Amino acid sequence: MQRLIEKFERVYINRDSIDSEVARRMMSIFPAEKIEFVDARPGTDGELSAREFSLSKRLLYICQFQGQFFKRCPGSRPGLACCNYFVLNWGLQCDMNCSYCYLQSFINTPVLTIYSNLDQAFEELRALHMSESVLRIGTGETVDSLSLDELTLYSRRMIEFFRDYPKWNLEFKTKSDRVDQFLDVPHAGNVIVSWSVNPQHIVSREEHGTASLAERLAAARKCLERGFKVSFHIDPMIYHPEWRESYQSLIDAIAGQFSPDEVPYMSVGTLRFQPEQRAIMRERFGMNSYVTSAETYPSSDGKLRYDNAIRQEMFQFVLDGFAKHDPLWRIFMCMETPETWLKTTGASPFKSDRLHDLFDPRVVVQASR
Amino acid sequence: MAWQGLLLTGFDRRIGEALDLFESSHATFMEAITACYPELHFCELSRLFANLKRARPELAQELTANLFAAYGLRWCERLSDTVNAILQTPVAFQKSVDEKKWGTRDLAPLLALKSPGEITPFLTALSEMPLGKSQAVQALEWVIELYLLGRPLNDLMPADHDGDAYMRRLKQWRKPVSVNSDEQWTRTVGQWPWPAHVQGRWQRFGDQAGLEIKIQTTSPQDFHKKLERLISIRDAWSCND
Repeated sequence: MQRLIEKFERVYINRDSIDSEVARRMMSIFPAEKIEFVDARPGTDGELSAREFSLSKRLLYICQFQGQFFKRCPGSRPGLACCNYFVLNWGLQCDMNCSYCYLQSFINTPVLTIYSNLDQAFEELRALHMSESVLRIGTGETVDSLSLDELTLYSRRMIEFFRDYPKWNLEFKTKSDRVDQFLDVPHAGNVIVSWSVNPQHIVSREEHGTASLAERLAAARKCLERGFKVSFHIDPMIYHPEWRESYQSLIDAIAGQFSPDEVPYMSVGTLRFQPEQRAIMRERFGMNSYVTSAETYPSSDGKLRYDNAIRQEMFQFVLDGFAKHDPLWRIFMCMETPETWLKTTGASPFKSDRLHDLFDPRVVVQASR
Repeated sequence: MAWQGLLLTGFDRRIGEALDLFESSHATFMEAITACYPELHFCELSRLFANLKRARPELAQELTANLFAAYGLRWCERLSDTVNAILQTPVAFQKSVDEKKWGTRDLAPLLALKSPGEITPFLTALSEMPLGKSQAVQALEWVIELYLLGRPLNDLMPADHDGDAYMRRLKQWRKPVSVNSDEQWTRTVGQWPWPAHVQGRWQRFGDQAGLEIKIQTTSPQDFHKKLERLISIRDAWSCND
């Protein structure tokens, strides 16, 4: 907790949120001199400079979210195969600092925002009247699900809410190791805690301010011991001269510490980013980064990606690597084109029975039986 | 033309009086400047802004957002950084940027440098190269990235005025793995037993590369024959893949 108190230079609380639970908690945690009550978001909107983007990670802003909380996974676009789930964004910006982070081309507000009206999200979910349907709801798209959780304790509230909806699945996605704050919460067995993972060499070089690989895997073990499901996203895989050795060590670490029945599924993806993101990455991380120095080409969806042959080789390496440990490991490719699926697995994700399972939200339930 | 003693046009004139638009018609600075210059390119606007800041700093500060908005730009720190960067480049480069109508985002690579002055010789040379806008924008990005990756600026200077050869050289340095792979495939494909009147070449399509095949055929029978012969190409490709 102390690291978070020190990390944030200022905590802005919009007057629309003063009475919210999360604002009251901030007021109890942060020294009074760091807190400022405001009527509107500080700063101006617009394309951020590198300096402003970096500073935004140190300025916390609590306000109500004006709009609809639930959106479809960004993979669900024409031309992209998708893992088919909903996303709940309870904040915007991340306190960690990955060189490849897509938020660099996405955020145009100079603060790290946390929405105070999580109850509205729960109301939207209730209003779906789909308690008997299978839903998969992910967090962690525009804010890390757990890195700030000691401040918000949102994980506890979400786990409690989802306890009443056992057919729904809640997924946290994080690069932190912050799990202790929710491990004691009784749950309905429908919570998946997932980690984006990379070899330690990449964590050290590209995922600044995140938990080490060993810390992430240790946190996953803690979750398993409390009955939570866990998952790993090897994403984004980053090409570098020793990528085979690096990713082999990652495969060995996961397969050595976990079994396929403990991890219902994993996903794998390679580096991708919007062309306009290249500039701010270059300004913030220089060219001594595997990401900024990568050889990338425009893909059919407009994002920059490695050459398709390299992507296939990397995917195949991971699939084969896990298969050598145990053929029961289940891995799907996230944010990837159907062509790459075809070339790597020999089947379209929409036509293969085995792979189709992975796009079915019920897979988590099926795999846990 | 002038406004409150600030000369707005006719900078080359040595004699005569300037019409002061404030005195004559009570025009605001913005009215005067947009009347004199209905259109301004980015570098011209940046120089105007720099001069205004020098001559009338309070006015410049007050009008910054409006001045840039009048020419379709939203003032923000990033734009301010870009203005500062472009003002550190040689005027020949600025003129080339304006002539080719570069956007402010096209200039973003300059922001990765401590000072654009580090690459002044290249910027001057770039303005003299026979490159289209998109090629010039790409060259700026590749050269700055290669320079930041440690390649000496001397290596990165154009050797002559062959723009296409220069772009190939920069690409070879910036994307060595895929360029070498594509070149290897190009050589391999050239050695395959292509049927007469069938041309095949290795081609890059964005993030994928593969064969582009052109067939000249005169009849269904001829077409069928050529397709049959192409099977040997498929076999050769399978052996190499």
